[in-house]
Amino acid sequence: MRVAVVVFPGSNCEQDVVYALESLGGEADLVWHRQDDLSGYDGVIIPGGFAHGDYLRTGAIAQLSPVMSEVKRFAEEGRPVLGICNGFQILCEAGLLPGGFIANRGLSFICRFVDLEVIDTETIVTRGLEPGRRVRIPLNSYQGNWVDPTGAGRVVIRYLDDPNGSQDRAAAVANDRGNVVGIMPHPERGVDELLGSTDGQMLLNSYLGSLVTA
Amino acid sequence: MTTLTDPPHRLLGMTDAEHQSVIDILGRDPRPAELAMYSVMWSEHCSYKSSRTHLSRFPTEGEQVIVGPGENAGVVDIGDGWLAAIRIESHNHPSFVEPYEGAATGVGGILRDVFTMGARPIALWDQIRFGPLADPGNRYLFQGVVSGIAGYGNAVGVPTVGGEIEFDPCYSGNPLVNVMCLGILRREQLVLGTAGEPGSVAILLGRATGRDGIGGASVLASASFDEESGEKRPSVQVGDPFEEKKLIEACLELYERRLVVGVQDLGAAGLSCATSEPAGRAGVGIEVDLDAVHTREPGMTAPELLMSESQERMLAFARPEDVEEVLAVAARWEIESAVVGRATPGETLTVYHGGQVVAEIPAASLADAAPLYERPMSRPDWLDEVQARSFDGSGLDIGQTLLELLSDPAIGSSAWVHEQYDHMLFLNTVIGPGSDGTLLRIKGSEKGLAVSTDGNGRLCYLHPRIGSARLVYEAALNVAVTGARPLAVVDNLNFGNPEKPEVMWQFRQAVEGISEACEALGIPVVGGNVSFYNETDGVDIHPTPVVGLLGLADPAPADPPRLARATEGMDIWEIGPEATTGLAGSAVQRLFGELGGMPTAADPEAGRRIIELAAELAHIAPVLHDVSDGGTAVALAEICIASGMGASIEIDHPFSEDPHRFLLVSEPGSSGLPDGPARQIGRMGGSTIVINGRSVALSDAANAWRHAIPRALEDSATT
Amino acid sequence: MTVNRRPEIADPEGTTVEHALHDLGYAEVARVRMDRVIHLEVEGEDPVAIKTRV
Repeated sequence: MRVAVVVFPGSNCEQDVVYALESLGGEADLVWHRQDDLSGYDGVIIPGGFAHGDYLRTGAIAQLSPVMSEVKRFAEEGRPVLGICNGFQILCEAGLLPGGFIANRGLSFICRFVDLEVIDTETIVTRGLEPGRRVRIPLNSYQGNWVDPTGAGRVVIRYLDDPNGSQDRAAAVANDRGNVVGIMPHPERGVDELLGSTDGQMLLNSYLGSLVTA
Repeated sequence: MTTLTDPPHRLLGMTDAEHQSVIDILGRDPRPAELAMYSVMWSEHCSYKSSRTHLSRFPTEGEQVIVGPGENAGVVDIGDGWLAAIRIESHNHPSFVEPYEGAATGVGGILRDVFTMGARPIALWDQIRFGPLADPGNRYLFQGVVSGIAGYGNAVGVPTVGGEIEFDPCYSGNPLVNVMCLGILRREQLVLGTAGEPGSVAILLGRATGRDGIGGASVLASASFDEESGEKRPSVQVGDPFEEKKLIEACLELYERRLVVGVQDLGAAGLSCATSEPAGRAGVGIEVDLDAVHTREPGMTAPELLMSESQERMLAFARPEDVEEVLAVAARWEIESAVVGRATPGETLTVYHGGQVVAEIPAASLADAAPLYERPMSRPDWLDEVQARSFDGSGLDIGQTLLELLSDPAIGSSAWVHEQYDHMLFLNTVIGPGSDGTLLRIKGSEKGLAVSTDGNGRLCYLHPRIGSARLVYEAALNVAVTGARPLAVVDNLNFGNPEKPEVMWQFRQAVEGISEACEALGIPVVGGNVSFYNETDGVDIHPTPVVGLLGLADPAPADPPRLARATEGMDIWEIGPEATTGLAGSAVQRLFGELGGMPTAADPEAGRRIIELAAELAHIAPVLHDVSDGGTAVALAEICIASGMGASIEIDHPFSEDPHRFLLVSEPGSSGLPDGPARQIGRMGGSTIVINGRSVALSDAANAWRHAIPRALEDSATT
Repeated sequence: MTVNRRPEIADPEGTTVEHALHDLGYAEVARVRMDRVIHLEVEGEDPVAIKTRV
């Protein structure tokens, strides 16, 4: 079971994601955005960072990369596709998740731990958890404010308070099938007690578990 | 003051004597492009002409030193094949002109200094100083600078993990923006700024060159200074963190694959420096073809191309057989590249443009023959009076004073600033912003790297030598409380106008103070930066040296002390020499009195002992906290606020800022204190902070502390 | 109201979009500059007076 962690020019959380997955027994490879063949991988993660500098619109240029056709194929085939932070933004731009992002309501970058609540357990990151489960992981973003005029979005994890104005206090959103999830806070930053929290492990374990059942 | 009838060299900021030196070196009048190069390379910022003679005082040796001052960053051995690269730089004047981009490009520049050595930059620290926030101009600068550091640091993908903030009226027209960077590398990947052997090829990597940073006095291109010609106006440097990120990854791949023999980043003095310094270091000549430089502006002249400070550019030197692969690596990382020259036998730097030779000078002369000034120094005649001032803090109400200190934006919570910085990226930040020292882990090893950056303009104004020495001890203790032992120092010396003897005296005294302290602690200075001319309307800033100190913990504590680990019933100890009044230059004096008095000098013996003690205790104590701004009272309050618990202490000088002291909080009977100067001063418990019988509700203290900066920004906005 | 940077000032955003367009096959795009358009809704009756104010 191998996970492809996609790297765009400007991505910067990919090493952290690989570290976190491997600490949980997962196997992952870094895949450059120009690669248009992900056969051999069972799941995909698009990590955080600033793909293309967030220029034009966050995720707007990234979603045109060759690798995205494979990411879309994964989505269609029901394979696990997880976008973290910038990855969430890219999935929205690619049309794989509803809505889009604007600047945090406070108009500054936010880097701090946030408290989350699991709402919906029928997704690749929440399967096996109970509704109402609390998760405490870091939020690190400037455009973390999710907006969805269609109202079609399926919010699966919510912020307990409201750090950035996100619609519905959405911290993570899924597609109907539950195999494509975007999450704005960083599960991979919550895998070490020494660094403040191990709550990210339950989300990533759920993701790794979903590779098997796909 | 220059006028339009002045000769070109004066318009470029050179003195007549400097101009004559160039003539003497060349044996003829310089060509325009040559003059341009000498003018930038011999500027104060690039040549350190006013400071070099004093900087040689620093102790720079030690068995841990791999690369000392003189290269782009200092490099030290941290054991097991790992090296650490550190550098500190200032971007003061550009940040006053354009706070966002000034600060942003400051971050970009220091990152390049570190990754040009072969290291991956893993963390940044910022030391920022402004006039009081009551003034809207200062608020604008403060917010702009923080945004710029955040905008660049976050986007380039290097965490900003700590720093310091100071406010004083002397910085109103002269904000100080200093940035320190730490990188790590395996020993085999160390790369120096050398051009290599004759025949090695110079490849320019990164952003296209434009007119960024070039002064308006581009007389060399036209006879008259044409105000209408927008092209000749100075252009603000705009940073591109995305380009820098790609450049970092491309360079790291080049190093890993051993495809380059030397690398130099392009900073101040751009191509002039990046071509001449590596050639000088290698003892070779170099040929440069300006037509090959990839540009974003048409029609740039040779002087412009040589002086441009366009950001995000590196110059790599490669063996001819590796050139194609270097260009391929650049292409894969989507950065532009161009072969712009080659190293030659001999010692001449030859520059071609439009097929003509536009410059032909001894390569090393740009760096090595730079003027060296021994500017006059004299102790300011106002200093005796200032040092004789007395300040009696004994009548102050302890509770009220504590609340005022906690509400002060330089003392209260820095969350408003540090929550704008991604300080968690890379999963190395064990102890992050808002603590005494930063502690970073190195995955795959037991090691920890600790850093503290410390400056204190007011203390150094009162006594530059004592004040500067104390910064080193302060920084060393800040890293010791994380479990690390001091390893090396970099310094950023921010001063006023060096043409004033008083300022030069302050400068020399600061260098002495830092040197003495480093010698006493056995740590070398491995690099530094000087920023002069921080002066407005004839008024200089306080002498503001900033010390950046790197420490190594091997092993790092498995469960390091944290301010939040105090619990009910724990004993509170003050460790260190007994405090004296210690209010000269203190925070309390800043709030309630006039700057003055004689600061307590550091005590090398006590300093060493306390630092060692702290580093040992860090492996077993739940809470260690250095005593600095606001004295023991503030240090205690910070522990209480973090732990959510009150405390009660009795202490003679609650606000004294005397050096070499820290607090230890631990279970009764378990302090593990070896023999040493230590006094139990109280105990944790309850919901009030009680100092000498005076109480402050914990919730009031926490509120004051938490909202210090937001309130300072908002209060002012409504007046 | 359009706010643009002076032509000689660097425009990282424009350069990045330009490269992206080239990647997509639009080699004929010579240059991209990103500017800001600001829409102001201003109350008042007299267009000339309003324009002067703005």
